[in-house]
Amino acid sequence: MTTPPLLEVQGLDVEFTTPDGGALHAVRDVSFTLRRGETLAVVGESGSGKSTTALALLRMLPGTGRITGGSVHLDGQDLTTADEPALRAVRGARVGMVFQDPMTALNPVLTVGRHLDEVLRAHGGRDRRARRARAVELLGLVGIPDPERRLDDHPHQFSGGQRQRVLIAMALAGEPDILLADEPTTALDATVQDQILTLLGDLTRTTGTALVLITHNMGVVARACDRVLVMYGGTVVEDGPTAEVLSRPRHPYTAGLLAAVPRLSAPSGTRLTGIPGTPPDLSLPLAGCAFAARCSLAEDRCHTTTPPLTAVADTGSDTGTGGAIGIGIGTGIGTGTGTVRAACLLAAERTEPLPPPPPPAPIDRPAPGDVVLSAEGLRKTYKGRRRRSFTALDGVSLTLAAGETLGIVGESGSGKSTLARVLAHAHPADGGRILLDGRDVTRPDRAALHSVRRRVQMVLQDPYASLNPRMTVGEIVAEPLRAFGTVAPGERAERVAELLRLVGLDPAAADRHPRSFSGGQRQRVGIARALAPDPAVLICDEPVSALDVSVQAQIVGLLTDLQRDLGLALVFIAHDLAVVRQVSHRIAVMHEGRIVETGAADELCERPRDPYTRALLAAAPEPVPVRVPAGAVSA
Amino acid sequence: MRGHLLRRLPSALLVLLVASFAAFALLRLVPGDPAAVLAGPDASPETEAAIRDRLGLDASLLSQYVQWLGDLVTGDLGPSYAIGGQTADLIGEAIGATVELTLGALLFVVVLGAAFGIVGATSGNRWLRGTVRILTTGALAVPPFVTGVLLVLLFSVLLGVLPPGGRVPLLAAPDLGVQYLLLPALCLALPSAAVLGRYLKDGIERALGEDYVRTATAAGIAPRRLLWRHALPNALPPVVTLLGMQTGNLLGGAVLVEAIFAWPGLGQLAEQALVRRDYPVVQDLLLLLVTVFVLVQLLTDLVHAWLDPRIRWE
Amino acid sequence: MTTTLTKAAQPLARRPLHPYRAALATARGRTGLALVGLVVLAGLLAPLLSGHGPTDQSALALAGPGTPGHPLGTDDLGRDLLTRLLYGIRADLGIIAVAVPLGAVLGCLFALAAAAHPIADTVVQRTFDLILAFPGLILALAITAVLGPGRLPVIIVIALAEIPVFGRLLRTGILVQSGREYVTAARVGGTSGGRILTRHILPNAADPLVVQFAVSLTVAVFIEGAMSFLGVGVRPPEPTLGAVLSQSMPYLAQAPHFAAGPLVTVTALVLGLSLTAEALNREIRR
Repeated sequence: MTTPPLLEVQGLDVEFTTPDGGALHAVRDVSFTLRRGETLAVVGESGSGKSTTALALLRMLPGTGRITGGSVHLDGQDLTTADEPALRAVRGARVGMVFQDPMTALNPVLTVGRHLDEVLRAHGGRDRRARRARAVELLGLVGIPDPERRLDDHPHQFSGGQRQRVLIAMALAGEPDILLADEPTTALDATVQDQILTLLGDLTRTTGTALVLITHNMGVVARACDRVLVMYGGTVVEDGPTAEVLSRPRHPYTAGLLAAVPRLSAPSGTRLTGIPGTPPDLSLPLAGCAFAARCSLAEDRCHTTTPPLTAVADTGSDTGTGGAIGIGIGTGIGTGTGTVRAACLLAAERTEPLPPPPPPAPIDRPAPGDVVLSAEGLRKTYKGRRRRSFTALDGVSLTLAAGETLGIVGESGSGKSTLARVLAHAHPADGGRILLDGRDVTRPDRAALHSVRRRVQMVLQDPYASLNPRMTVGEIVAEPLRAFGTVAPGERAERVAELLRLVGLDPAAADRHPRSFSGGQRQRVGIARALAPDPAVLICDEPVSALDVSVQAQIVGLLTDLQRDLGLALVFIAHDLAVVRQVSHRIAVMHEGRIVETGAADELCERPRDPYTRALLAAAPEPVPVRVPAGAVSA
Repeated sequence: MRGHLLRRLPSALLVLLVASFAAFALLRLVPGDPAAVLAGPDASPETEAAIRDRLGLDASLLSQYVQWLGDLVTGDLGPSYAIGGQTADLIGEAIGATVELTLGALLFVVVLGAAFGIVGATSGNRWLRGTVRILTTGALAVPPFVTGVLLVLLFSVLLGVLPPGGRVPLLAAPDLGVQYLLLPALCLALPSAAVLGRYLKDGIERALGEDYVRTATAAGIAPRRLLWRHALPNALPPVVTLLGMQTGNLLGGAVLVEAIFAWPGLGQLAEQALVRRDYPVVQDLLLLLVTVFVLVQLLTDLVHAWLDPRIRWE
Repeated sequence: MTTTLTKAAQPLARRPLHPYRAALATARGRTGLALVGLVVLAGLLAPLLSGHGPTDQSALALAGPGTPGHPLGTDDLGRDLLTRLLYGIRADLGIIAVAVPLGAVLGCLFALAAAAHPIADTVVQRTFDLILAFPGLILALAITAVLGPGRLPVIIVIALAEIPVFGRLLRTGILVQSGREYVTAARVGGTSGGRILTRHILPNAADPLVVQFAVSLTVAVFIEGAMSFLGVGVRPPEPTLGAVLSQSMPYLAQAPHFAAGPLVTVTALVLGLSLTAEALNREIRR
């Protein structure tokens, strides 16, 4: 390593001031380096400090955020002490940045041409004509067809993926040395995500720009970067070549995270291992390892001694992992050289990587029983503004048996959420029939609706929006008990406690408001509420997509257990094919309001027949090397 | 754009229609014989008969209404029984005064509102921001009749630099006219300027916190340009809508300010007509004011649509 | 059951103050409440605080402040200004206390009706548009033209002005809240429509109404005063804050103390109400 690093971050600390005056230590003692042309992924769950780190590099921390320690050197210049004009000369010109949500990151009243022009103007001041020519060139570079004409369009005339391309064009306009991309594909569908990652890979390779990609998605890491930095609770826990870290994690958190990631190649009916517990409270000062409280290997000293980031393995120029474990990883990997460093006292004393996680255990689940719910030719049309209407469901038919999980996958706008709402009678269907236990319940009268709702319940996507903030958890769970009158008023409290215990919550939670719970805990409350009237069918509309991977695994496990114990029929809706395969007996793929393919989960994932299913499978970034019991799945 | 206008038009017309019913009903709702009320207690039966004839009070309500609308369209508003002279002339004179006052106030609203908003949102000086906040809170909370009295006390009684009331037409004698206009216009403008300023401040602050401003900041664009070229164009459309609504409010508030400063505008005319129970004049005035109000709102909608490309292209 | 029992994560936090009480405990809220309380108290205790009748005349016209027996002086008809001020507050409070709740309740009823059916919604919306299409004070003139001057028209004008304000606010609140996921969840959970409205939607839509109520009280003070200035307010010689102030106008140059009392009182009252409203608003938006 002869060339000095392009970017060197040393001991970076970032704090926020909370509304009640306390300090929130979002980033604690983060150090890393980036060399010219390198691609580095920063991966972590929410609250890990990965995005804050990115913003701190360019001194763009929002609100009360401030750098309280450390340095950021870009080619020797310390950005933490640089003045505003110096920073402006760096932003856009030496470091370009791409943000998560392409829907809000572009100014709605400016044309795309103006967006690019503003950046070019700030960093060059060449004449208008030249800037316009360069803007056309940039739009072409990021793959916007007919760039000359599209220059005068406003952002709302572009699709989400195209907007992200425009943002990348803006970030590259100043020909920066570093492209900093903060969750650039999180808001996008899998197929679009795939295109954007390909574009980023191509661009960084051809222009020699270094890439820092911030993401929570292990699949994206494997797909796009040479080196990976794993963050937890504001600290770096592991840093090394992607292939090495993902296949032989040294830090228990990395290992736990990897075990929790659902893999598309894992067969239906296997159990994921979540990481028990909740992320650390960042308002408390850091004592010891941030992960100690959730770590199964933790010893006493882990709670008191802060582990330094130390080299635990040197892979040299040979990544040494490769095909032996059968990684289906695309580009990115192979050039990664260097040391694996981990911030773990135990890992530092060990030369061997952690033992591989227990293979995903198949769940013993009883075979599905008789059909409880079926739908025939369901239609739903929403009237849009100005008489434009939108067909959300276009002749959807399905059946669901007792004790069976039917997975429904599709991208945004495919109609899967509408289907959930129509099946749960939250919205009426415009056409078709819904049969419950063989009886037609498409348009039930008041009494019939009441009895249908006792049998069919729903778990909603957003654990923050789906609980009334004014009610206590106990009141929320008791609402269906009151509505259906299944339990005498005097016994409600007891039943609520029982339900909370059933979903793995402390019954003492009943007296508190939803705001004092984490996302995963709230989702458990939502499940308890849905279970209150003893339903036969549970419709789960993206129940885990708002949750972190480690929590997602917990909730998925809970749903599977409940199904087994209560004999529930589950409709499990998600956009992540890997999760769906794991939990479902059968899968239905939705596209533009229709079910394009339906079949047994493993069969559909391994031998897809519909071209759209194939595209969906191909686009899902195959995450990490997976160890499955021999013979359980074909390669 | 045309589609937008077409969509707004029906509801505007409906408002006008109902307003005309209401104005028309006014005279008929007053207890007693309208002609007798209009003519006053000392009038001869002939006068009453003339009034009855002129307003067609013996005809059906529908034909009275149609006749009134017809008179409005042709501009033949008839004589004013209580005040004297032709109604059209009275209104014509008063409109000039009210328009002058409203426009003067509008100028204050725009200038003060913009200053309050931009300074309040972007000034680096804490004291300046605090002063603006106190000014806007005060201007918003204190009713115009209190500000009016205070302004007169300060500028007329204490300093003696401006007249306490009355009007000299601006076009006839600009230098003197301005002196008479300043206090009432300022008094009328202050609450609206405060609303506008606060709204603009919130709008700019919100826009500066948006993702697209973060994008632009990360691209190295200077703060001044961020404010003027990126944040302001987004903060402006709702402010323009608000300005339109405030113009309507100015029109309503003018009635009060005219009373405080003895400004001979439509409000004073309306008050005079009411006190003297000259209902045909009141009726015409009411419809006129509502019409102007509705037109201003319609115009506001169109400007808003033009400023916001998301609506423009719909 | 293999699921682990997840303990509630954080230790039980100190029970936070109700937002309204927290708002009123801020410096802003306290100042506002103190100002309003002072004015209200003065009005309530009017008969105890002054020895004159509000319409008693004396030979002592336009006496300055500090005159024995007349601490604030007298007006053009020799009436005691302190007495007129105190009874003026009383009269204003009487009007406001009836008119604003009336307008608020009617507005909310309209909004609830609008929530019941799309056609009702259109009708209610148009009605609000219509009321708002008339500049407020023109409406005041028109109503007084029909009813004659007095308390009733003032109350009606204030209530009428507040109906669309509260109505629109609640209508928007109901619309926003009924689109929230927890309402869908409650519906699927079998909760009846009425209970969803009263137990789920309304409590979450109520906050802006509380702030608006404080704001509307200031608007009411404003409308009362304006109507007095226009000569269509409460019938003289009964004092109101606006009436006393408007009577002082011709004497501003010779007897500024005439205007001082109502000037200070109105300012204190509306500033107090505005500060309270702002304090509430800040706390709620947090």
